[in-house]
Amino acid sequence: MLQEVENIKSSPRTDLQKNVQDLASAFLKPGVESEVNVSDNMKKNILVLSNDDTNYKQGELVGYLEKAQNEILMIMAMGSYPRFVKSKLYAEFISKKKTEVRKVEKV
Amino acid sequence: MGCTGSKHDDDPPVKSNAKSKTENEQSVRNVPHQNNRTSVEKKVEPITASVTAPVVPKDSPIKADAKIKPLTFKEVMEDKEGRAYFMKFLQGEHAEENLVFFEVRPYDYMYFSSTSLPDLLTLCSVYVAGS
Repeated sequence: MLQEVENIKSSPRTDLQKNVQDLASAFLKPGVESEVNVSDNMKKNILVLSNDDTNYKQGELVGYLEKAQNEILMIMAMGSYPRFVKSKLYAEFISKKKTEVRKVEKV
Repeated sequence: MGCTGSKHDDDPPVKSNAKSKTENEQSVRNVPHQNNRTSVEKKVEPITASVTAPVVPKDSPIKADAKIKPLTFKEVMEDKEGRAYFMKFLQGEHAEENLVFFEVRPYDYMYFSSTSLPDLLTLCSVYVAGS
């Protein structure tokens, strides 16, 4: 999965459609190991647009990608984040931040 | 009930008084029948609790919580380390794919996109503040 991401990052920026195809096969196709929790409708739209070679609409595709990104943010903010705030890792992060601030103040 | 209000303005309080009287009578009647002091005490307790309940929380706990305000989602996402910690947490939950997916996005279409990451995050923090 992480390799897929690296591939997407290293591919030339002009080839958006191919990038998105890779991305979709990693995150959006139903049943994939690391399937993202975006709405099914959104997944369908992105998959269809990224595989449509004859009538490729880049603007539309980018629009959907932005919406998907927004959805993901919302999902994380509403779902995972409140749990993260209550977790030990969050407490660890906060205490680390506080010690860093103290160090800066001393210097 | 409410349709003929003006003519029977005096009626509702009278009725309620009558009801409370009957309730009192009933409770008085119940006591000798049951002969249990504990049951009477139980009946009294919830009433006093409901009267005092709204007064208590105004004084202390809310103010105490306000001092230890947690960081917003936006603040953590804009902090490199914060993101790393959030990622660790998500990996523990086996739900990291959302953040991984999100981290890919800015790179490969930032050349085409007008919406920047900070804009999305402020949009998002509005939602978080509301919840």
